[in-house]
Amino acid sequence: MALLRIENLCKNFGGLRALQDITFSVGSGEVLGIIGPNGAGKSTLFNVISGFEKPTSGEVFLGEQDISGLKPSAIARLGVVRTWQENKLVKDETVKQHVVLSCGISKGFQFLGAVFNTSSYGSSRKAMEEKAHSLLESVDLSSLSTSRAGELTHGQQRLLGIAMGLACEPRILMLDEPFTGMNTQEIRFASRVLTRIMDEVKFTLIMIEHNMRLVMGFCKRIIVLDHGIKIAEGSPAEVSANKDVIQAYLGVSKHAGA
Amino acid sequence: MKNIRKPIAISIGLILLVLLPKAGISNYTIHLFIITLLNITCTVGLWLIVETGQLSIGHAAFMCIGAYASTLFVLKLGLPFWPSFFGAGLVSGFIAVCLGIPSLRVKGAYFAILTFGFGEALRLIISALVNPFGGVNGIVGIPNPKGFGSVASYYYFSLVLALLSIYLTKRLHSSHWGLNFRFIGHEDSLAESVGIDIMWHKVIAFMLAAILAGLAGSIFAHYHHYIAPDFFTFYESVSFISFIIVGGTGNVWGPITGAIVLTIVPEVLELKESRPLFYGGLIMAVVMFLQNGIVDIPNLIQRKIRWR
Repeated sequence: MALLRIENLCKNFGGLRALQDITFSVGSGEVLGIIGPNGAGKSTLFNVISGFEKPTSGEVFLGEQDISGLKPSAIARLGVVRTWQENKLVKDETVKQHVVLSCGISKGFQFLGAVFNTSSYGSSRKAMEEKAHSLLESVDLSSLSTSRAGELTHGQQRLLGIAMGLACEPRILMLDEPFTGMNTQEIRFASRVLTRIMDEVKFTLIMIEHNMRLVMGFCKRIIVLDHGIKIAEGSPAEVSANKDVIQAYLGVSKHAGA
Repeated sequence: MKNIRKPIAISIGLILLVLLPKAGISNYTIHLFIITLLNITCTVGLWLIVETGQLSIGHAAFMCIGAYASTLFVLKLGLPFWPSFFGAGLVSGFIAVCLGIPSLRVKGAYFAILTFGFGEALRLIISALVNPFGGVNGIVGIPNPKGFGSVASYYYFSLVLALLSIYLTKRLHSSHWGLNFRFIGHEDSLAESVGIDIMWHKVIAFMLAAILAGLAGSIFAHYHHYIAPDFFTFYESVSFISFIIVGGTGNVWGPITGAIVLTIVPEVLELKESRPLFYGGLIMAVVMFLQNGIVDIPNLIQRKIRWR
């Protein structure tokens, strides 16, 4: 059974139809790639699934539950967690604090425990810090855990974003261009880290990425968006041979066939 | 060694604060300390709101609510002081929740304007209603609570409240609550994407700040024996913000230092009408030269010495 089902999803911004009738599903443990030219609606799709935008029509199902229209924080707590295309972080907070923040997702509120610093609060706090530390180890940032997030390189900040997503213990992790802006070396390192994590932790992955080689490497199935419409879906080989996809990326030749 | 130093410093500080009224200082000086302590209580609460990225420029309204609630509980309902005191905090917190749920959805200047409007509207409503608020003339003859009377007793009462509110904000700041507040303040969509309910956190911060201001307002009313809408103006709200800016926003000691310095210095210098000028000048100076506030001065000096 599909873990996540997107059904007839539409999103309009005024007259702009950013997403038109998108339907697809993701199975448990699957790695799905979403590609498309700039402005195709990929990030909008992520925003709608994660609750940051309300869909104009259509539904998003997690298992049997309709999650469209829930608050982003509620959707994240249900296990659908997204990362950001830009490096969103608080530059004066330490790397570790970022991950601890995300570990708090399973923690509830514990107001009185926090105020009176009870021993149960202390131990759960300690557990959070240990979990944060091991996550930072898995993305090779543990040596930088006390550095301020603003001091990291771009590539390290991208990895921190992934570690924050993982700290939420996602059932579905949605990575929005995880390798964007990285140089070749950083990409090689980061993709090795991601592969290792996928071996160690079990979760479903949806990935937006422009780097075709990486998408082909990670994903068994790819969905192609163009102008808010799903134009193709299939294995990397099928998709890269699809005529509509080639047209969307390279444009239509006026002298086609000539 | 370092572990002992901190508790010793805190105990000495506490003993000094307790002995202060016995040191033969004038009632006027103790009065000044009471006002300072009440200002600290309000300011650390407001600082919690600032941590969540919101700016309330109507915070005196909650002191006003606390003062009037407590007064009316005692005078009109004939309740004893303690239920009235805690009731004042609850009423203030409840109104903050009712105001916060719709208004905390907006950010920045929009939220600031809403709080400003709330503060002014509240003041005008109270001024207009002679029954039960006494209109512009306010309410006179607010009795001392049982066992209170001397200036020193109010000093101890305010001291306990201020210390409790500092403890509360400091604990919250170093727990995951403070972490959540800071991330909400700086990058709210990031906080939301890792499962933090930003609305709930903002409402909690707003409510706590209002409760503290309400309790401070209650003490103020009974200590002063007289309240009027003009005590809780926009100028008071802006003063609280000045304390935070001048003191520094980095940790809880900033607002505390700001409240102490900006309450006591103008009195010592006998500024009277030129007080706003003093505040304004100080804010400009701090924004230009001391972005982390005056609590950062020791650090700056230390760094200067190390460079030499």
